[in-house]
Amino acid sequence: MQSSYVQTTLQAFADAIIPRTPRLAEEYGRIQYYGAIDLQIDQFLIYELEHYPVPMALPTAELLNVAATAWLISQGYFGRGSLATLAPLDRLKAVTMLKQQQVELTALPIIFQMDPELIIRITDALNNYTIIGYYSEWSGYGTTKLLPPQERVMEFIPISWKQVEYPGPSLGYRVLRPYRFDLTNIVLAAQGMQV
Amino acid sequence: MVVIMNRIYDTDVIVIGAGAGGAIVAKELAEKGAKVIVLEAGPWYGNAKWPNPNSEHGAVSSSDYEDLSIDLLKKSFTDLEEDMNDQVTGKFRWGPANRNLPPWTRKGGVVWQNAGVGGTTLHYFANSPHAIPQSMDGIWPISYEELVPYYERVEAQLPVHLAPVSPKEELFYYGAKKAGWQYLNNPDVSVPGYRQGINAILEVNPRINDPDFDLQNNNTVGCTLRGHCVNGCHIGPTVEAVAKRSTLVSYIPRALATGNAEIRPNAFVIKVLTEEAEEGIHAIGVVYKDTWTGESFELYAKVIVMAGGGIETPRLWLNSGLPENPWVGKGLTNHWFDTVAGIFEEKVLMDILGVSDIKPYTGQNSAARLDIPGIGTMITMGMSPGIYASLNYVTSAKGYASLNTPDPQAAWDVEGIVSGEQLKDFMREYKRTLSILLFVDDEVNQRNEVGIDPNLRDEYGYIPVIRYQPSESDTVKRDQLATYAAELLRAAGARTIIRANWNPELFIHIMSTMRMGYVVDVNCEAYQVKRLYIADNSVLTNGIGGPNPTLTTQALAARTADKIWDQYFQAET
Repeated sequence: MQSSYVQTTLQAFADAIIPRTPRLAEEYGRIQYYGAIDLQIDQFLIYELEHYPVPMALPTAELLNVAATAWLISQGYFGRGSLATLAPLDRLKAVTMLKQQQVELTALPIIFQMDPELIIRITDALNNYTIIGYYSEWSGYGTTKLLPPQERVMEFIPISWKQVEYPGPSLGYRVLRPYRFDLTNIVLAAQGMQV
Repeated sequence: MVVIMNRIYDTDVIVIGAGAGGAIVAKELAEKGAKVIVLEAGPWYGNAKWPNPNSEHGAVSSSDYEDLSIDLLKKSFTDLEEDMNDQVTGKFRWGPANRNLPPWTRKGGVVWQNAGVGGTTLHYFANSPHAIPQSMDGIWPISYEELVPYYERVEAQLPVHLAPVSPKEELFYYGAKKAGWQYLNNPDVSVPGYRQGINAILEVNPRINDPDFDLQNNNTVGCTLRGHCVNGCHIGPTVEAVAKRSTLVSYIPRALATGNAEIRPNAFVIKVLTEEAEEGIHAIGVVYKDTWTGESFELYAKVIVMAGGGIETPRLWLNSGLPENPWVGKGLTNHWFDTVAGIFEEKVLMDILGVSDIKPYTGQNSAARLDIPGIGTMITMGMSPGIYASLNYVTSAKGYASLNTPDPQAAWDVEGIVSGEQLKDFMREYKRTLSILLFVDDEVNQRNEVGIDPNLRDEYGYIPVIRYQPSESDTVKRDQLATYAAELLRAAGARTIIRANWNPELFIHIMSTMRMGYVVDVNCEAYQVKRLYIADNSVLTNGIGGPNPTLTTQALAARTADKIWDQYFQAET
């Protein structure tokens, strides 16, 4: 079981990427309200990070919180920051400081000090995992979603699929178009000649 | 076993890797009569010897066509994008068959490759264009014309067809024409223009638009435009009749049918063995490890073919302690991808197409193209929403779009990682979004390379380290290409245009790390190690001008098989 420290931090990150959106809900229907928190994308991030070639969930949470501290200091505050207490846009600014190498390396977990390139890899991966977790079928595994991949079963259609009107896997679509290319101006490419 | 020169050989030829290139060499040589063993690091889906390929070791090898099972393939290929393509745990990841183990490590970037019989063709789009002739002639040690008969051979075997048109392709053609590009109808592209996609996918089922055609119980041959090329195609009555022609379903079944090929999945080659003799250093065998048990095995053959891809092949060379060569691993090209997406209003689409959306998850994943010799290539791209959102909206070197100041001169409206409400708003319009994937004709530069880490090892040797820094000229070309794509989308009537601006450390077309003319000769035999051949993207002398490289690698592999036969086996028969 991951600590609430790790979970809170990764939830704050996922929420900054895919927040709840009351304004979209008002305009386009209630389904558009839900975000990464509702689909428990923090748990997906933890699962992925723990199955990285070396377990990375705790050092990644620490990395994000060091970035939050660096962001606060850059704004003239003092003390220890945490990503979860920052406003969503400020969380992204903190992560950007990591990518721009504006965070003191010695303040980071040892695994990042040993391999600074990993900072970029992991922050890129967090963006990507958040999206894959959210828009793929993962949340639809429901109660089985944290089991080993071979043991999961689809229990329902993910909210995210409803938001984007993706109907899920299909065996075929009747979408063949009787398109005809405009042959009045064909170029025989090899010669570059008009015919 | 055969004894030649006092050595006991297990087989005539060992092929390392059952991907795009290795499968071709295996089939071509087996058909000529050579005994071939293919060693593949990943699992084998759709084979009765591995009923549970991700949770049990299963058999050691299969050499029987009858072992192929479409039912097992359909069971493994679930059409679910996280299950199939998740980079950490997915069935198509770069990692061992056992999904409870972590993926294999590379340093220097994210590499989108598949381990498994079929290799990265398991999830490729199957685009199969030729190289741009002027990117080869006078630059490669062989001419474009030299390759044409081999293109034709592979095109007939896969087979390769002109791609069908679904709404997203029609919208692309409309935009391309409106933007002033000319239509091309020739495979040898030397001037810029748009053309019908050309891919290794069986022709569309002729009944596809027939409302009475039962898609649920369809057991006939042909593509059904269902948009799962990247998530693993299983549409067809048998493994060999599956619509998308990964080598898993095209060349591997043909190789088995010869009776001369044996394929061992879960077998990671860690060393090429050599011997010094009168003819100089020559390859005699390999050491491989079983990825389930960790046990090591040795195998000996008269010829060894490396086909592990643009990263593993130089890694294996270096880990084997083969002779030094200043170009081993050097000269990496990667097409430095980018995406530009356009969101359309319903009314605009209705006016152009007569339908109010293009549903990018329908049709083949990529079926229309525009090539600009000297600059690069653009192709359409549409698929399931997770990968779609990932490639279009969160893969970027430009940081978060919400923190960027838009450039009023740019041809796009938004650039960078899309997040927050804007991301959800864009994805809400997923059905009306046309995405264009860009490949830059990036230059060969010796500083771009695949090497090995001096300290870090996994159970298969020192891990690969990739270093890739595009040149200024590459940057100029890519900005130009992105501008062309944005102009095309604008000409088609797009309301909002988003450029991702991918970071260069994302590797998909990994090419030219063991270049012909530098590491291998014109026959793809290593200059410094006789009887050692290479048959993957690494032997391309450059990035072939921008088009998707698979078919060119496959044509070369077919040619290499001929050369191997002529050089080492013809005389024996």
